[in-house]
Amino acid sequence: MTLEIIDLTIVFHSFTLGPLSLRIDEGIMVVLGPTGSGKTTLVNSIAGILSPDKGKIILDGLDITRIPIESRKVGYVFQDSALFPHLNVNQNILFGLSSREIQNEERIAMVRKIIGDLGIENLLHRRIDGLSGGELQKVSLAQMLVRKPKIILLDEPLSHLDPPTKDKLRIELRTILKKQRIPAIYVTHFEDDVLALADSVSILNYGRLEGTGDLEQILNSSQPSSSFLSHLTSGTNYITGKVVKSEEGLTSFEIGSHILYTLGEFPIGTKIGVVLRHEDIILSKEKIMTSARNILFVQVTDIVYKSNVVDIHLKINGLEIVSRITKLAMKDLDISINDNIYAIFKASAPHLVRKEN
Amino acid sequence: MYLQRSHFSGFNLTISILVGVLILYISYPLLGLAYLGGSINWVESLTRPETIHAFLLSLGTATISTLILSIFGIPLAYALARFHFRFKFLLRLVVILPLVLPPLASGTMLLGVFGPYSFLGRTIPLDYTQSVLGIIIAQTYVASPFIILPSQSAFEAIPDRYETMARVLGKRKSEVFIRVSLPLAKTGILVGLLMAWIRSIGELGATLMMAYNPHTISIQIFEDNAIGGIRNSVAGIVWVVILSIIALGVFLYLKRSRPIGLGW
Repeated sequence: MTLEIIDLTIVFHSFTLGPLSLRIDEGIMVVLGPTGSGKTTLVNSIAGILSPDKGKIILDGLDITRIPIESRKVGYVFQDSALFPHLNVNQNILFGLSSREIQNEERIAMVRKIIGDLGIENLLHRRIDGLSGGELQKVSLAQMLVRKPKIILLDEPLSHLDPPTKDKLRIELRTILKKQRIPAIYVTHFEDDVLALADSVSILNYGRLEGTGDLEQILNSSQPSSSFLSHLTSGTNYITGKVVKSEEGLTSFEIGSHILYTLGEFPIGTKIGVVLRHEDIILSKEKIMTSARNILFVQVTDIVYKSNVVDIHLKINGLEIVSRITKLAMKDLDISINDNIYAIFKASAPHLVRKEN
Repeated sequence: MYLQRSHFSGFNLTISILVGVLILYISYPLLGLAYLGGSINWVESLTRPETIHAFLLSLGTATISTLILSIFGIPLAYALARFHFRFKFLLRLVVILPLVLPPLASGTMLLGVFGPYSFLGRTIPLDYTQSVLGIIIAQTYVASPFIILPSQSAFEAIPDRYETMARVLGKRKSEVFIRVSLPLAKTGILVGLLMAWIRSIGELGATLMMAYNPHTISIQIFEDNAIGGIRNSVAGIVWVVILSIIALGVFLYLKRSRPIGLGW
């Protein structure tokens, strides 16, 4: 299934989106941009809520540019819940199915599976007004998934949630979308959403596409094509690895030939992505006895002075990370490029943003 | 924790006085009715054939008028709430017109276009006046804003995203209207229907012009009072008051059961 947007232009009040072109074949594309950049306008045009002034939208080989909303087979989870208040959860989930589909045993089995995967079986007979923010979005997702859409559009569905709920739901969201194998476009202005969800990233700013590519490409880009793009990774290291051992609340995961430690328990073989702040990495010229579980012997590859701090770029075989220290600490350590030093951080420092089986 | 009771103030006193005056003014005629009650044979009065006939006729014609208005008025309300077109404001003015016109003026105009010597009267010669049809024409005309305006407000109170979501979920516009818009606007529409029905029952001015006969309950009260004063018309009044109390109860019940999160 491919979604292709070709030279799309929409003039909406005093704002112009485009012309822009995008393509998504599979996975989750996160469209990142500040408020007012045109993210919602973009997904609304894909859904058919807004008609483009120019350009084409091709979905699975079919030009849907002028096709009515109800015929597009697109799923859409709004930022504000659009679950019907006069129906209960079960009725909301089944709303998009025809009476023939509801009587089809295979389809009903699929519906039950989706409900089970989302963990909302206990909500089925509840009214919508009694649900929490996270529950609302799960039910909205179920409502979309049971229709087997060709693509799912998500317009910042987690933005109203508190951080711990958001963190948990992001992981669940990615898991379920990957399991369903439905491509998705997730629009957001939170960089954390990119790290947690994206297979590919597109940056939108003032109605223009400033950059697009796979997540790894974007993160590893040494010359970001926009200032907004460079802001995406400033301040954090993004590390992915595979779990090799997990017990008593401590997990060791493998990156190349290295083993790192983080808190939490995961099944062996799980691929996890963690974010590690630059400030959380301590540097030492000598190996010291410490409670920290992560001690890496690294090489300094670059030293970048900023206004009040210094970013030390470090490398060890397949792993590249950045540590941030004060100018005074830099003076005390007296390190130079190509020096070998110890990079140390606690197991509690990495923050889990992604988890895949 | 205790709620702080508002202490006695000049503002509260002023409000109380104003409220008291208006409540007294509204309930004074009812008190007068109760006073008259002692000197009337109620059973004979309330069961007078002319009064019963007029009351039942009003109930029947009001119900038919309300049904007709619901078929045409609710879609009109939806169009005013959701469609965007040029000169929409003119349409809104036309809808409000029966509300601002004096009923006698409405009745006179209706007589002009439905009367036996009008174009319609000569082209399609039906009994538009001095008939049950004439009553329905008059009631439908004056009660129309009472369905259209509350229904329009009820539709406008529904956030767009519910209807948009229904279409994203594959429903055609007609299905969206039936399965989403109508249920979510239900309370406002029902209140509008109730108000239109009550207004139809109480309609006098336009009906007087279009169909003095057969007598509706309002015309019966009018005639009974003209012949024998208030003592003669009190039975008809009581029937209408009883109906109003029942309608009020229904109205309060509908208000209480409005959909959560939406207006009305």
